Amino acid sequence: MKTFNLLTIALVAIFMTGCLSTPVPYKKESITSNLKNDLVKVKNSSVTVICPDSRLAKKPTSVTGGATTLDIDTGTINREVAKEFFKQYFNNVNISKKETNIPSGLVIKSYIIDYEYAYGYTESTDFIIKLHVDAFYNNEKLFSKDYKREGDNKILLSLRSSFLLIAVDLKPKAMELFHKLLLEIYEENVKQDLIKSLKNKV
Amino acid sequence: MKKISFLMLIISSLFSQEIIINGFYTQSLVNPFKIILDKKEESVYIDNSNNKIINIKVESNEDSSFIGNHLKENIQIKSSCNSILSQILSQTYNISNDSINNPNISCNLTNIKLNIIYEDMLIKDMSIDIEGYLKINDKKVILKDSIDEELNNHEDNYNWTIRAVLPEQLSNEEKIQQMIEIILFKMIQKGLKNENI
Repeated sequence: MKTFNLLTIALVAIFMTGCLSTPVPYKKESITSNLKNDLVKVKNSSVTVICPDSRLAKKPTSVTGGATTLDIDTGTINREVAKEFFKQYFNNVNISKKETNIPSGLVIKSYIIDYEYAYGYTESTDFIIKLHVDAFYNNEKLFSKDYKREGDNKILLSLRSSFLLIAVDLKPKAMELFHKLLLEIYEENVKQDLIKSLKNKV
Repeated sequence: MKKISFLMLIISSLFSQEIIINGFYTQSLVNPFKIILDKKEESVYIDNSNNKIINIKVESNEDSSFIGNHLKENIQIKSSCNSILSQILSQTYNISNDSINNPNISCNLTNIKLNIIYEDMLIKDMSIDIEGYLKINDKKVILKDSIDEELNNHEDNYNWTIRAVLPEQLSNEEKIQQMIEIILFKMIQKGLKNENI
């Protein structure tokens, strides 16, 4: 009977792993190697990044890790990733949580609409991030657009079975992918739209 | 006589390949926001008059017939590297059409040597030595450097990271173009900085 109780507690503990979640914070190291630090930066114009606080907790769409939840501090992560993205190109980058008066220069209002993820049978993760961006230059609207980007970290595949390692191993790798994917949206999609719009305005 | 020359031209083109330095692989090294947003107070004129074609010299631990299995017999390149010069200068200057009232700048390649080391019938290492010069008004600034396939520079040990320019399946000719463009960008940037431009 004692063995049965212990086994039941152990099983419940395994399935409850990750349920008592605290929001996953921003981690700069996840994107450091993807940032360019040797560009000649813009001096005469500033960027203001406005990203409100937000938090999104979601379960994976996969069976693997189905009992776990990722609770992501999407507001802070988006704000910090956007700041690091623009710091590659501009000397003067301001960040804000709230929209006050829209200042002159380039202004980016952005928030993460949603995300989906699925754990693979090994340690890989697939992510989809949806991001909304409003861009202004000297108080004139450049564009308002939703972006969606998918990515995975299958390159990090390991043959180890991860059933019991979900809370320990998968979360950090998944979150690293989340950071990288978000930076990719800014670098590959938002940047192209900004350049195109600014060329027409300036 | 004209027909023979034309025939010779067609035959030589079958065995040669021209690499065009167009700045494709150096786009990510330029700040596009700076080009658009920063106000430029000074202008420069880029002189495009010199655009000779030069052959890339190939040195290897195998003979030329073996190299021919991997590369075209003659790899040619236009001596002008003004496309990359323009990418760098347009971040700080207006590019003007006025050659009289503005500094006159051009970039030219004089010598390119491709070094290939084969192992087990395959290319193991590839590196490129480049010589060229910047001409700023009447002053020549010599550029000389080398780069390997991993995009490491040998002489100065300066490191840079290349993103979005490393497609997995590049042909040997595309790799050569990439190596030349990357090193040229760094050489020109350094040359201009030394001349306070």
